Amino acid sequence: MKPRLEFAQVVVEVTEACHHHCVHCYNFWRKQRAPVNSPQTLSRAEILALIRKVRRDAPIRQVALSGGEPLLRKDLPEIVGDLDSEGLSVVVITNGTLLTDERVERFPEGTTFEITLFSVDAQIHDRIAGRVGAFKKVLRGSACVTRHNCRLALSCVINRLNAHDVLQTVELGIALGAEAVLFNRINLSRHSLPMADLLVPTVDQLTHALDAAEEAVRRYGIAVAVSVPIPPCLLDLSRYEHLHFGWCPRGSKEAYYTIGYNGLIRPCNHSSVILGDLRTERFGAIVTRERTEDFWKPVPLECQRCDHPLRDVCRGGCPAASDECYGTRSRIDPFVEIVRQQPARQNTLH
Amino acid sequence: MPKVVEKEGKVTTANKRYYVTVGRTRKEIPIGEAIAAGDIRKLVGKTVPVLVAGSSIVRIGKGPGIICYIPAPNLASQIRPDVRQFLTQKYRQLGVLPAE
Repeated sequence: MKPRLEFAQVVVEVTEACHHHCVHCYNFWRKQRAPVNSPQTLSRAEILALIRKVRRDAPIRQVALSGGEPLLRKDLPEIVGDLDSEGLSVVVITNGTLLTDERVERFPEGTTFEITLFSVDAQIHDRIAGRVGAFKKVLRGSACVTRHNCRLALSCVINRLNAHDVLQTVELGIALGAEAVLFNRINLSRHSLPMADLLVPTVDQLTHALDAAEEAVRRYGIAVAVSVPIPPCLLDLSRYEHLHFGWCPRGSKEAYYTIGYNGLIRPCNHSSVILGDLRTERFGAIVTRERTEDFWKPVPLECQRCDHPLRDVCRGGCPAASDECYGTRSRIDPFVEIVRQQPARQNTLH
Repeated sequence: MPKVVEKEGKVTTANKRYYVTVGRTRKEIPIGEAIAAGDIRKLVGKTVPVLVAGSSIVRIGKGPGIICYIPAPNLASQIRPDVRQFLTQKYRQLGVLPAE
């Protein structure tokens, strides 16, 4: 029987390759990336075919193209064009440094580019991105996006290095033409866990950053989403009336199952767990099988006793982060554990 | 890309299902992993702020009580041109943005 699914979006990682070395990068393959021209990399035609296959089972309306760095693929504008022609809304999640006028004008008008901007300070941005000169290229790339009637959203990963200048970073984003800001706290992985003490902000730093984001919304009317969950046992979120807080959709219709560069499906872009192979299996069969549903079930023991009103949406934060760092989804998000271990006040590193 | 707009809606219940009515449009509130029935039950009969993006309900109620994962395109805001201009000038003067 054909499953009836309501998912609205999927993520496609069009390549694992990336020329940046972001300190917080959670990609499980970051130490061993498949090159852009790997024989396993989905071709443009295969990507379109797989998205059509997904749509046979789920009425998705949006596709996010990610990586790695998706712009390392020379055929990315054509891939976006294919999906746009299918009536899909397309978001390109990019570090923004490879955007030039010549490249952007090949994309369909109205394409959304979600570009990372870590700080208003070039040195801090470059340090987080792991590449000297990245900041200047982001400014140039953002200008290209708005010049060609495409849409710009900024993504800022908050860590200990940049938590202090959030308001200025959002202001710079607005000046660049951003319509929205994705303001996400660092989400830990196996790679970043050993550096967690250096990267994870203290409660004070996180509070300062969220206060600044709230202030930016009040002053300028920019929309700010905090999509990576911040469990309310860490901070009182109710004081932030203007921020959109997101939670792990845990397989609900807001889920964003992720198709890897080779057609393998995972629960989300943070997880390395392979749920199935979209080249040989139906999307509906993969996401409704018992193993997939089991992935979303565990709730950390301490969260089962939680009596906070947000308990049922929080359920311990990001289960994929626990899985990646500890090998279990029954333990609370490592971000929570690290923040709790931090002394209340610590200076930033720079 | 739909714009996010705040409207008012009334929360109702029938046959163990929950609905929010905005203007003449009634939508079912998806109870499940992301939205707890208990939280919605408290709002039944009340008029609450509802954020809508196109035909999607983004958020019901104030604050982060009941919310969903929000992708960037569903979040776009309209910034006043004079605000952009002011900030562009500010960051040019600070030397962050290149001069015209």
